[in-house]
Amino acid sequence: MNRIALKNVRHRYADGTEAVTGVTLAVRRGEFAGVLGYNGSGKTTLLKIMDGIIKDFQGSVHLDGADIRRLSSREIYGKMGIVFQNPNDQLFAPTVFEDVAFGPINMGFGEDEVVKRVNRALEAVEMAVYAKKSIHNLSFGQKKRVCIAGLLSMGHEILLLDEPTAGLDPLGEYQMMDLLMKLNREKKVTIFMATHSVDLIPVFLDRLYVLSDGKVVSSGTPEAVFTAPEEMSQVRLRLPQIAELIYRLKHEDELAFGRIPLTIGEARREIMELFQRGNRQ
Amino acid sequence: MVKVKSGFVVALISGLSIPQDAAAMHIAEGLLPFNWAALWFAVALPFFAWGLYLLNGRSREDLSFKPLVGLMAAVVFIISCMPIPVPFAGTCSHPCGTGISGILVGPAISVVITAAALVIQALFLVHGGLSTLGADIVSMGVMGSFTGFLTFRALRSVKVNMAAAAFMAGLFADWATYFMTSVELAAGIRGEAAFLPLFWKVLIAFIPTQLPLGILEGAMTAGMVMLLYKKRPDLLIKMRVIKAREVAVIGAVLIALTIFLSGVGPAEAAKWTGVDEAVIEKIAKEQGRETKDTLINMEQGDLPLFIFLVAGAMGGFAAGYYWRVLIVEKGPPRCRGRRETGPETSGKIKGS
Amino acid sequence: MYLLEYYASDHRLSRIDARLKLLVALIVLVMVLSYRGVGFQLLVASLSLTLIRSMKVPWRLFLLRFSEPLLIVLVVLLVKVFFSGHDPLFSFHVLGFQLTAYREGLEGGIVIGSRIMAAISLMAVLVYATPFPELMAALSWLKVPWGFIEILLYAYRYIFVLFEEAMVIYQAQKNRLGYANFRNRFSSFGVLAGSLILKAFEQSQTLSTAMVQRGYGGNMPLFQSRPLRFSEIFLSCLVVTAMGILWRI
Repeated sequence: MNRIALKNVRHRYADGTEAVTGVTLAVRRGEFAGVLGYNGSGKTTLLKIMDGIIKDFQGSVHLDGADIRRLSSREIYGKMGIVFQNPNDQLFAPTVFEDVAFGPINMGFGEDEVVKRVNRALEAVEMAVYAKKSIHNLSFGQKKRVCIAGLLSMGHEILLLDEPTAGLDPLGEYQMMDLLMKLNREKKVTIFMATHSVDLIPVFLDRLYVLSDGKVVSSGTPEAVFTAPEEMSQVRLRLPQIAELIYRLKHEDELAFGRIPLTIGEARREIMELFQRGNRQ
Repeated sequence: MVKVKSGFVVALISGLSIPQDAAAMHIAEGLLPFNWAALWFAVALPFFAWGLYLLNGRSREDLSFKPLVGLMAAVVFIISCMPIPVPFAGTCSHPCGTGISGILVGPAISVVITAAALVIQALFLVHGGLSTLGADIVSMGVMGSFTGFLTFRALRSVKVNMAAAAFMAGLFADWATYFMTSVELAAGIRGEAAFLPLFWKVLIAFIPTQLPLGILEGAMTAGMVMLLYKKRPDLLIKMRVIKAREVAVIGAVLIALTIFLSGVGPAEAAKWTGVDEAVIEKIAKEQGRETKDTLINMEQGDLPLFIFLVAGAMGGFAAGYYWRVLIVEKGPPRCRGRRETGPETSGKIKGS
Repeated sequence: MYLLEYYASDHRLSRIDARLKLLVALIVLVMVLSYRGVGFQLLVASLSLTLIRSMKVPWRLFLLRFSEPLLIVLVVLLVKVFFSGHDPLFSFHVLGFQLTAYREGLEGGIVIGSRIMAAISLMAVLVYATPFPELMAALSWLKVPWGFIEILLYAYRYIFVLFEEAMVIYQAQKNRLGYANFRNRFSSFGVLAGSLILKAFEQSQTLSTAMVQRGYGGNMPLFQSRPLRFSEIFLSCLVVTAMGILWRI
């Protein structure tokens, strides 16, 4: 069931800073999971270790049961890939089509198959009409989508994403997460992302790990993780704003909320229920 | 936004379109007749091939090397588009950036970098040209990179401090480029006139811009090297991989080239007298007027100088003006990526 | 940065294969360079300019593209007219100098000027009718080493990225009074250029990581082009032959 399993992973950079200090986690088949942490908590390093880019770590990383250090890069990158935070770091071809085709051509497919894969990948990220455009004429959000398409065209089953919503406007953030959820639900892509945007996570993610100082400090469903504001502020994070509001109403103003809702929809239901109970009394 | 960008293009182009500057660094498309264009291609080819050979070898060892060289070409392109005001001549000109790339990745690979920047400039900015690519590679790539590299190495080997060595490297790279371009230009537009007097005229005409510009390029090169030294000394250590033996080879080649150019260049030029040249000579003889080489004539030498200066000052004024319009009056140019993010915004796409 | 790039995507010339366009353009360029007169060059220039106008290139781009070469033409013409030759046409006094125009100089200047005009307008037609990636594929078909074309592709892509970076740094320096005086201006330019080189180093590292995980093994893959159509080849041969005949006359 576990596609990626990390056991007690530690990594120290050449200059002595310890970015990851003992992480154990698992990414299950078909789930939409993520790691939540403040800037500099070791998220990016963790993703690089999971993707086999950083190899000199202690502990073990298994991809589908095989030790990642024993796998060739071809074996790793046939199954999974990482989308970096800055799209300019990974889009190098002059046009969208050529960039997305880079992976399939390297995998040795014939021309027809390459074209088919590129079109399918671009459709999946809703960028098919831009195939012939130059990369530099795309917006930031469009570039991010092309990055994802570049990995999808290789037939990846696992996508690792580093801050997929960073630098996007509110609507763009939402659309990006929506796209990822669609890929997860419809194309059965396993997704693991690093992020610090607490407001979006509960709406989309199945499961998350909270990272602080290179360690996992809590994990589970969003409901299990976002329980008390004090705990979150200890790791330089906070509850989603709506959850914070209900939490205060419950604990400081002593309103009779049952549980702490994490999304607007849940909160609306809870508040309506409370009103109805109040009206009846 | 579009206004700001187009404003920059205007600044860029007027910065580049100052005749003396453009003529001094890049030789315009079509300026050289076929024979000369071909000769410079032939001169450039071995250096280019050598650079490409080294590049292929190094990129096999280090997968990030080819992207690095591509990015360096982009940097050289941008540096050579920066409009720099030249104080004494009152004009704007631009640095070459070949000295620094010569120091960083070695002269031969720097020739490839310059060639890449030149091809893109030729295609999109009409700065230089495809037919004069060979000449531009020789002056900017070969002369600039090799002079910069050799100066830097030589000074470093006698324990001159790094900033001073980089300064001299930038200075000599710029002047060597200027010297070479003058040779090419004089030979190319010479027509029926003699090579040397025209060469001196061209050389003298560009002195007011090129002498200070060389100093400025030196200062910039020193600034860049020191910045790299302070921030990422590991990169400098990593890039300095060329052995002393190779330096000797490069030196020998350069000396041979200089001898070839000083000896054979004018001779070749004399050999390839054009058809119309011959015709005019014949007509002149029939009319009882023997063609004579004009000696360096102060009066005549001053006039082109004067015209170049006036034209340069006008161009410099225009460039400075547009640069101001872009940067000062129209508000800051903004980073495209941060501004628009939604996947719906497709207004950027053009050209279709 | 627009790099003056304009692509006339719906022009008839744009549908012709880039390889043939490049080949024909280079052959005609060689003819232009080696022609020792004015007629052929003016013909090529006027044909090219007509084509460019029919591509509906915006006037602003058109003028920007031709501004530098036209100035060079002007300067070369002036230099040649007044400083080379011996058969005086006319002369006048200006600012205490005696300026004499020579007939040979005028002829020579016109030859060089028309050559420049023909060459740049010819290249403009090629660039306006061909997108950059296709032009690069055509170069590789002409046996330009693929390693060099790779460098061109990276450079083309990252000019835009690094240029944005440069503008951000420039503005940041400006906001903190960089470029305020002469000395300062130079150290600011030096820092700007140095930062770009650092950026290039760092970006090439992350770039190659991203490429390796997509199967990069040291070479960019080459895209196969479609086979040439007979009509295209025929048309190209026709153009080259016609030009060749005109060139010989």
